[in-house]
Amino acid sequence: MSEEFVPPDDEEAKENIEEFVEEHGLEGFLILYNRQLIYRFVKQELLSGSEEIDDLGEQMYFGEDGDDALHDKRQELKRHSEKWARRLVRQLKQEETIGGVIEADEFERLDDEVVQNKWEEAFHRTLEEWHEKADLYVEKEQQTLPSADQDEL
Amino acid sequence: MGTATTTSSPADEAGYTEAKQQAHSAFADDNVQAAVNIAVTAGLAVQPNGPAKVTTYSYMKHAGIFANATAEDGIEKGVKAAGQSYLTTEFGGMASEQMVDGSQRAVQRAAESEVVQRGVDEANKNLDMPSEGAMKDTLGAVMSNGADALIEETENHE
Repeated sequence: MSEEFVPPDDEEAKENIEEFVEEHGLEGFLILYNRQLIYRFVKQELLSGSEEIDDLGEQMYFGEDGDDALHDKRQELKRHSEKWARRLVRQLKQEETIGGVIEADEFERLDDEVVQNKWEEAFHRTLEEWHEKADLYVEKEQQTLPSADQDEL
Repeated sequence: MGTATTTSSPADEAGYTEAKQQAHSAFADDNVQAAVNIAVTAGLAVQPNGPAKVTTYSYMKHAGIFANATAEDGIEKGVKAAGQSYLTTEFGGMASEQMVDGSQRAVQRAAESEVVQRGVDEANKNLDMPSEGAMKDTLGAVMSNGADALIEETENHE
């Protein structure tokens, strides 16, 4: 079961999905999915090989009802993951086909092979561009860093 | 760390191991932003991109198709649209918790089936697990929280 999950009934679930789609559209849906992808990837990477830092696992997995500070830390992780997800979608929208599908809220065209191929290519390209800039972040984390909000990374 | 990436090299992997240590330290020091920035820029792109992209896209696609069809026509149509119509025969008597879990399972099976059909037999645990988890989180968050599932507003959407 997913995190922060509260089971709704059928009608409430439908209404909530409808509300989300109306307010955020396909773009918001793609941001949300990719936020959770990045959030889970980062969490996984922080946990792997974390034996040098004894309490890291506890910091990541402390129960939802536990210490507020740890809950806040997970929320902050999610917030920064959302910034990267927004950046990702913003960059992928620059590809003409993907941009058109997102602007028109054409969810069903996610199943179009052309769209899928364009997304996978653009996703790959964007991650490579980010990786080329990794030195901006690695070993400099105590300095003022470019924000994921900025496109001039 | 996987092996089939088009971008990874021994230097990348050595660099990433070091970067991961920095991400750990940053997180332990409450510098969450630095931890995320390092993990994303140094880690995400060095994952095996072929299988990872197919799996990641497939979960996103089926979740999106489910959400859109549900918003328009309800949960049953959403599940059908996700490609698992056999599940709808079980829907009548489902408790709400089973219903949501069933939706997540329908999308999961649709995605897994597609990944197999596309001949992607190389598992990439580093991104397969986050992809499946992200799909479940996304559906759970949207069904539970509606528009508040996102932290910030989505620009330029009316």
